[in-house]
Amino acid sequence: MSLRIGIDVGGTFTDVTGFDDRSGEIVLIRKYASNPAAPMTVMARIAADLAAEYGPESVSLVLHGSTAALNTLLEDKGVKVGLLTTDGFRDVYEIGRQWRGDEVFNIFAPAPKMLLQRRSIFEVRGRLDPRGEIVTPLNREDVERAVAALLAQSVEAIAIAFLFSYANPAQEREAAEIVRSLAPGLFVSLSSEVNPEWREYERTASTVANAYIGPPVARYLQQLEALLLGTFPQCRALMMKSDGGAGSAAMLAQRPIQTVMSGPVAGVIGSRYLGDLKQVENLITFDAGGTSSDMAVIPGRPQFRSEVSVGRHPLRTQTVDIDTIGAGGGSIAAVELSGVLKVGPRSAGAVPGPACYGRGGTEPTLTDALVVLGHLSPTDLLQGGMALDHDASWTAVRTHLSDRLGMSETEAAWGVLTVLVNNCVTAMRTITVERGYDPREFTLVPFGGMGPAIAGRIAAELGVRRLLVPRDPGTFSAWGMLVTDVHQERSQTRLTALDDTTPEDVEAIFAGMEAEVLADLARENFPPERLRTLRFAGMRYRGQSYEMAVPLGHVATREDLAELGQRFHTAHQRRYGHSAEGERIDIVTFKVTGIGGIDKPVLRTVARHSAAMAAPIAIRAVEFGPAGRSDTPVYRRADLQPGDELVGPAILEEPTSTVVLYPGQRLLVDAMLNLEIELPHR
Amino acid sequence: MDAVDLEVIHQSTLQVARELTLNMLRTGYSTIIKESQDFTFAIFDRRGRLVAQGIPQPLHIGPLAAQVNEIRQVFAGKTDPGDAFIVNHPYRACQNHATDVTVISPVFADGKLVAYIGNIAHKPDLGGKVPGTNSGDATDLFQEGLLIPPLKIQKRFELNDDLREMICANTRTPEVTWGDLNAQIKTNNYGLEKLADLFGKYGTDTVLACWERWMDICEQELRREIARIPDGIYGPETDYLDDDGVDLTRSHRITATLEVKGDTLHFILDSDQQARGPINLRPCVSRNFIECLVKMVFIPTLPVNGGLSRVVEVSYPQEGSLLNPRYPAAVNMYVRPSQITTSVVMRTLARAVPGRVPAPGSAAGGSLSSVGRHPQTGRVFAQYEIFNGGSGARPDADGVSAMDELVINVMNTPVEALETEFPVRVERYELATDSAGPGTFRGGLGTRRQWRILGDESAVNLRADRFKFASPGLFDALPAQPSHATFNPGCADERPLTSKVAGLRLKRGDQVAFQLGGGGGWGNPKARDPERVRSDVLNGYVSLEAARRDYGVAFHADLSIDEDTTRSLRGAETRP
Repeated sequence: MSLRIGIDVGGTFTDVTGFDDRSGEIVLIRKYASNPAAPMTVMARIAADLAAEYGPESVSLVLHGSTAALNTLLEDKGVKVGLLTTDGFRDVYEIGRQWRGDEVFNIFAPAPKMLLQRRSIFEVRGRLDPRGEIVTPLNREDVERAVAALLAQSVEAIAIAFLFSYANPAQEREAAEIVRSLAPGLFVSLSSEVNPEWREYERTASTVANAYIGPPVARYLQQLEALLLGTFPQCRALMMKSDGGAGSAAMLAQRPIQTVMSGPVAGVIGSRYLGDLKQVENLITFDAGGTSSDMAVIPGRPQFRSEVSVGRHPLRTQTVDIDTIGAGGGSIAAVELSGVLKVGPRSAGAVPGPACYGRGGTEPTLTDALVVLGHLSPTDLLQGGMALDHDASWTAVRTHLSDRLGMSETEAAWGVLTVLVNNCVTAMRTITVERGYDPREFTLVPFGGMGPAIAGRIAAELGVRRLLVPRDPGTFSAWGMLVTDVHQERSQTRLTALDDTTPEDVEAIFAGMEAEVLADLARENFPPERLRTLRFAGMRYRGQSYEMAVPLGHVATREDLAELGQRFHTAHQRRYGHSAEGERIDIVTFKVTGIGGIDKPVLRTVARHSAAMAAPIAIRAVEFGPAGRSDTPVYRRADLQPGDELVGPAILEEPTSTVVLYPGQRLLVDAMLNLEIELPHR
Repeated sequence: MDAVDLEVIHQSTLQVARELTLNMLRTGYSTIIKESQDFTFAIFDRRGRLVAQGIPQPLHIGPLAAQVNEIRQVFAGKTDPGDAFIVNHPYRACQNHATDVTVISPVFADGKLVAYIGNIAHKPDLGGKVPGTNSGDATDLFQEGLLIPPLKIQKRFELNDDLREMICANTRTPEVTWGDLNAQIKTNNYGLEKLADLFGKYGTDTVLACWERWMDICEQELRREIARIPDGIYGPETDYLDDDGVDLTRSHRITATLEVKGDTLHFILDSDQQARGPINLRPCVSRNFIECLVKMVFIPTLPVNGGLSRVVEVSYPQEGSLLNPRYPAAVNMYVRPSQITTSVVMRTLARAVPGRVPAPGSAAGGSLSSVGRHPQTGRVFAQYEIFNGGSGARPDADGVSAMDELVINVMNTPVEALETEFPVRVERYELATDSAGPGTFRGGLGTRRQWRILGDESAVNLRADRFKFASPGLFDALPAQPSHATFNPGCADERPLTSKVAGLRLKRGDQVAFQLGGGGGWGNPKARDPERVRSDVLNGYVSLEAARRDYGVAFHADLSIDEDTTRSLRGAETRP
């Protein structure tokens, strides 16, 4: 047995998936209760259980995605940070961009969030010009004075962010040396290492955030690696990063900011892998849980963004492009404004949870509506894993909704589903239209506990024709970790006019960064044949203030540069609907991703074991709104075999989720036991 | 139409407005669209009442509504499917200034005109006496760029090429200007399809009835809130503009009074005579942001729609006044009077519902631009930046530094981007200590930015105000610091600048500093929690001298609070 293990740590549950490379089978799926206060105790239990059951030698790879970094930020649990800035620029971090964004109509629009107080920000003399040349040398006494003052404030980390340090990191490094000599062991975060790209506010904020979460997250990563390597001597222990790759504790300890969005990305990576196996190009992922839903548009390859906002604080770090809306099983439905039905973003969460959980919740949620409609089992969830109080759902819908609206309970419950589905559909339209795509050209991949229960309705409203429901949708994110590679990236801002540069200069910049990432990966014991690199140029038309990442290969000739320009025009045309052939083009940022390849799991195809299709385990009356109520067969998904076909209505129950097949929708079980669902023509 | 339809059709309508905005962001050409996002889309019903809007610039909605109604009248019976109208004329019926160009498209269903899609987008240049069109010393409308009365720019989906030629011949940037205008027209066309889908899915009559019902909902909710306010007169509240950029010696008064009668609000605006310079403000502009303010205060979670205007009445001074200018008075600096009008209106509202309105902010937002020749490239460059002062204190919290409350929502330019592209070095960019209005809760701080010229020569323009008058704050607060600008600070030839400067010539090594005013405070500063004052001192927001003078808080050498002195400084003035 050679096991690769994915561990997805969520707020309520920690999902564990194990894949055996020898048999090509998923051999274990397990849920542990999370313990956000002491996550290492849960990991220790998981490691002990696996070692006892499968033996310490059997585990070859553990991948782990965690909200440790994210929660440290969101819950204000980082350390006390000091910041050194260029003389005259103490307030870059506090002033921000004077932008209210979505809060434009909020008369009490909040200030940009700060992770430290102004008294912990010190200016030091020393100045570079935009090319990185020294205008004023670093004043070492200023640094020493600042460090002494910060140590007197008992800071546990120091961030250093000087103007133009992306063009020349020397002054930041010199200052860091002074800090380390005065305070050995203090966590130091340099803007030229965290994010060597221009725009001082975002770079400074990212560097401060990295310092803020640095000590606790680095400690967590190192403890976890020690635990796993101690338990499984043969294993490689990796953490998911926001960019969909993975990294070791050694790679991430200095830049834990790279793990902030590691939670939801694995599902996107897993969906892409599945799409490649199935040769489906365009995917929209829909990961619906209890409180929120994550969605991503994947036109061929996953899309990235270089900046995210976490709790009103910007973080510039490469992140798989995922949007989140407040819609999930716990979303609360209420009648507002004397007669409008609203659903979410308020959520009953896991506690008290939906009324049917019997944990004290009384307000109707999406889950309760689905129980009333018969879409979810009236008696239990997770195939017996959790009992449901069916009457509580009806009571909640009746007292809060149907009595007030003069509707029946099932009409009101259908209305709850309609409103929530419409919220999801508008969000999906936004993320596709914004990027210049038509959602009708995509296949929807639903997962998470709630995704497959409502995706059929979303697809119909969105105009999507096909769904692909993976196996074990409730733990699909943990599975998605098993198909990732190790990523190490470098980026650098160096404003370069495409017309004025030479192929040699461009090649030299990329080659230098490639050598660095490959050296990092070699230290992770990847042999040369497992290594490759991707190059991206962040490009713009002169005068634009934002860049588009354009992939490119080796640059040997002037023609190669011309072709790069052409690629930028094409990408601009696709994204913005026009290009400007005559305009001057700049390369602003050079970016390299080094990839240490990990063998992908080979999914075994399954043969039919009997000619006949399994019988339903029950027939249940299920409401489908205007299509009426149907006596609907309920199947156990595990009973279905490759080649089985169904025409809705039907319900498929499984341990981690429920699939609702709407009337007229056709379902086919594929050879890997995924479900292909096709919608009828409208 | 039931509770579910009401929500689903409403959200789907908002989604159309959102998609129009996204499509414009995606396909617009200029940095004004892509980065400043200085444009707005909105949907109106057949009677010209606002139904839904994308995330907008707050100052755009009023003119759009007035223009839709103008077009309804001018082109009654002469409107066909596939037509699109263009207009930018500040007096036909309304526009902020001529560089804001509107495109309005009628929406037909089953052969009947049922709605309009309208948008406004700011143009980088539309002729006039200076590059960028908007001239700080313009004295009539004809110096402020090409004027376009309501005309058809698209007839039955055919572009009007003659009009395009005419417009392109009147701008210094024809490609970008037309690129944006074309995106405005095409995005409206895209919206026609989306609305047709909406009508097709739910039925035209149901959708129209839903829109109508949402106006009623907003109206009812607003009336319910207003009915709780005691009837009476709140105000008058008065403030001033420094000058009009032409006559620098004369300031200009703006006054607002609020009369609450039952479940309606009546704002009575008054002002000095209209100015010669371009600081006049068309009534429909102020009317809309007053409605916006009312919504933000009373029903922040509800959409802005035509229902609001049924509850809010605004009276203006006679024609020929700064707030009701007579054609062809110049208007291009309309943001300055908008900020002051916002301030006085907020103050009347704060008196009516004291716990729900912040103190007015600095109202100091302004721009600094500089034109010269780049020493390395030899090309002419134009650098343009917009800055904000501090926002006002809230009834339970301090104001936000470097943020406007309502009128301006534009990003600053990163120092690293600025210095990379322009021959300039930023010497300082910082919060100005003691700039905030002292109060039980203080205002946000203003910023100070100082530039040094690295090229041979450049010409600097400053378009600002609030150098002579600052935010007074509310309820016994002390006034904030006003803005100021200085030529060569700290040098032998240092001298102050006025708030409106056109074409100041600077040579290599010269410096200019621009400090913006702070936001107004809330309540008596002597009632501020001394620990908050101490925290402000430790953080450098407030100096020791100001802590003692304004807040009546004294400190020992180790910066612990000197309780005895504080008690005697605060004395009888202290009220909890």
